[in-house]
Amino acid sequence: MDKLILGRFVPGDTWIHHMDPRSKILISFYFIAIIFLANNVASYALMIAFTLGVIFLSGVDQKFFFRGVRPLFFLILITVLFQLFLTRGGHVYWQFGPFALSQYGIISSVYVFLRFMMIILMSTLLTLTTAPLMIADGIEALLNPLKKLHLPIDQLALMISLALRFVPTLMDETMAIMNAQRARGVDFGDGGLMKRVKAMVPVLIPLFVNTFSRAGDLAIAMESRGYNGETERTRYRVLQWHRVDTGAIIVMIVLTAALIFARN
Amino acid sequence: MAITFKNVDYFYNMGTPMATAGLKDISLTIPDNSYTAIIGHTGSGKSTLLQHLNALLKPSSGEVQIDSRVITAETNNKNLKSLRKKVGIVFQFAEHQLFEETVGKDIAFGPMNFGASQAEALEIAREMLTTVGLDEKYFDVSPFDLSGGQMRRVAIAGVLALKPDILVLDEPTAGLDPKSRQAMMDLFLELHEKRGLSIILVTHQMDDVADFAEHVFILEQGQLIKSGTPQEIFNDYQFMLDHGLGLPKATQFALQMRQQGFKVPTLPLKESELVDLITKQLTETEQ
Repeated sequence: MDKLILGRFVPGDTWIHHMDPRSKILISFYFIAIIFLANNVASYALMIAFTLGVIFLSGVDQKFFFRGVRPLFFLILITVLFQLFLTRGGHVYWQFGPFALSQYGIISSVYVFLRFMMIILMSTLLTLTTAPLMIADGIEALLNPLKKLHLPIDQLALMISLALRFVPTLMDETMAIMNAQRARGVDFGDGGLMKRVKAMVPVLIPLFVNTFSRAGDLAIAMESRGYNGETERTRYRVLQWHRVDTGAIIVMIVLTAALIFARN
Repeated sequence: MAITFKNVDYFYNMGTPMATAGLKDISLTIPDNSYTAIIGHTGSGKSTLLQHLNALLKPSSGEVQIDSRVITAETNNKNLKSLRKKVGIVFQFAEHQLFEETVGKDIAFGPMNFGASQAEALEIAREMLTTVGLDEKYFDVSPFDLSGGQMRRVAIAGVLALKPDILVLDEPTAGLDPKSRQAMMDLFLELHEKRGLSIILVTHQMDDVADFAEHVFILEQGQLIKSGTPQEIFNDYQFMLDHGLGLPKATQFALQMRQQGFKVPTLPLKESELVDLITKQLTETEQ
């Protein structure tokens, strides 16, 4: 369970930590979009340098980033292998049936690998340096214009904050239930796939039951404190756009220009 | 069957910057056929200690000996299952572990994991259901239709069904009404006295410690700060109060009597002892 890095916030005191969640979210998405503009060694080198630079600026231990990559290792591996053996073009080094090891295949698999790594590292950076509630606030603020379309953004944001709030609770509870079932003789890491899936049933059922009852209690607690989704809510944490955010946007514009210059 | 801790340390999040000590240099022995209480504040390491009792956690350093098995940091995770049959743990809010369609099947879950046939397991389940004081009519009822107290009993029956030699109870009466509390504590005493089970009780109720325990361990911030019989522990009442642990009601009462000038030669722990003390005082004043 400790491996799940999503929402694992590491407090710190750097520029990146102090940025407004809105700008951080926007920049993360923007960066993921412009990665696809990179198409040669120079442009990839530029993007890698940028990624490593912001990771360094965040002051977060690299170990946390590796841990963010680990759960997606197989996804990356399989995608890279597909690229490597199914792409054709240029000099062919080896061939067997539909599989071939070609010059383009090697190049594109390296690019896919780098793209994957950068996307994961940047989104990990976002969750490592931004408290989950701040992310929720940021998303809410960014979605705010959709209120004009009568979408229930406030409720949506509340749902996101509640969901984030209960992630650690659920993890603790999962551990507690797993321990209780282990004490009754369940071996979670043992046997074939079917057996392992079956071993999760005694964990998932109590987890669902408890979650539903907790949700019911929470709803009652909120209503008894006068919660009403319709009214306009004031907020405790007011998002503030700082100079560092404007600076970050400018950096992104410069990066885009440099990228367009570097690509062919 | 005894359990011995030798210089046990345990760290959470080993090998990360967030490593924190759960247990620090714990050495203790829980003898065979004993009734032991473990007390301490929330976060004092009680639950961490419990999980070492059946090797759910392994010590980061030092060793835990359970019966003849020695568990160290290097012990392989395989083949620990037999220990879990010998040491049954009832966790806090044990009712949260129920999952089967019927009460009977849920209690039978443990024995079946240890290789009992379905018929055997259901047989044991039926026996355990009555052992924990529930009517047999609940056997085919969904556990989710029971009250919280009844669910707790079913969960305890589920652990008893393993037929453990040692029963570990983590605040088994938390959140129960006084009557169920009493019934449950009586049940544990009966299991200890009639069936020879060792009981290890984690509790905040000093009255339960005074009434039932033969030996007490006190934990604070992962360290064992005191151990002894209840009488030894509560005689040092200043220590207990300094560490915010409280005293049994009878002891509190007797201490107030002492303040008012009554003679209290030995501190009573149980209600009956307090009654004796007061009767003695009354008869003496009459003379």
